[in-house]
Amino acid sequence: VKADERRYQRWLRLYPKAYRTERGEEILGTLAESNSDHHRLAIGDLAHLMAHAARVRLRLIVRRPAPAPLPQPARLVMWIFIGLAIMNLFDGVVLNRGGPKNPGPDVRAIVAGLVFLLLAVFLAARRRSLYASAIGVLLVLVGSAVVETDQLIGALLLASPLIVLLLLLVVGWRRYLGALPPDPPTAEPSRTPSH
Amino acid sequence: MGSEVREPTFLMLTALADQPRHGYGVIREVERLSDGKVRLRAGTLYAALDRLGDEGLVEVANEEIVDGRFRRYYRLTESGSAMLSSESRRRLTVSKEALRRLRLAGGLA
Repeated sequence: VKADERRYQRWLRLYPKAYRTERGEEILGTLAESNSDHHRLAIGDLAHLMAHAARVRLRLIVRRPAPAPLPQPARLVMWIFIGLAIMNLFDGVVLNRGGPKNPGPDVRAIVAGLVFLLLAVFLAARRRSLYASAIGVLLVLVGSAVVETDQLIGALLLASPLIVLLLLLVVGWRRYLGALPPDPPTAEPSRTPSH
Repeated sequence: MGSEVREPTFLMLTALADQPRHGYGVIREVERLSDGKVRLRAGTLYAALDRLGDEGLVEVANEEIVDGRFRRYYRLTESGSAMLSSESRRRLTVSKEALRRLRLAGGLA
């Protein structure tokens, strides 16, 4: 691959991977032939490429079939996370503004809300690694609650809602994996040179 | 496809009327047909090819590698040819009428 084409190839990353696999080499060839006299991608070419890539991505989003609902208990846990996120964010921003000494928003509650929101996104993303990360984050939260408190029983009681959610996710692991969509094919289509 | 065929699309379909062409071949032919007035960019070209392919007016004829570069050739489908034919007739009728009116008004050089 020539240096010019390597540069053009970087811009092709604007396109979704599936489209790039199907059309990438072809567009690369056209760009290389169109810009063979000045060895750089013209600004106009770049602008039109970006507009086209955005259109392809938008078309993919619009035409994408609605995903199947998350399997239980991941769906239940996700909604609980969303509920906890809303409660904490509302608490931190509106209800508990820190009292007269600290009239600003309650940062701890806001951070907790954002963490729960992130965990809900992790579950909704339908990625094995993110599901495992959600379990990991819950483990850390439960662990830190135990470490921070002198009484083990009291700490476990305090963290029991999180422990229940953690156990639900662990129990639902196999079911979650079974509902994941198959990996898209990544192999390049075979092509026969004409000469 | 809607009733209006925009100029670049019309030129692209015309470029593919006589023989299959690859992306850069279409760009060059459109430039030649329009006396250099229309220069398609790669992004515009492939957006149009996507759309024309979806509408069944254009299809892939063949693929080859030339000088290490992958080329995909496109051609008109039957409905693409029919559409180009009817659009050409429509434009011809309008052009003839425009010339007739100019002649009547004495404005034709």
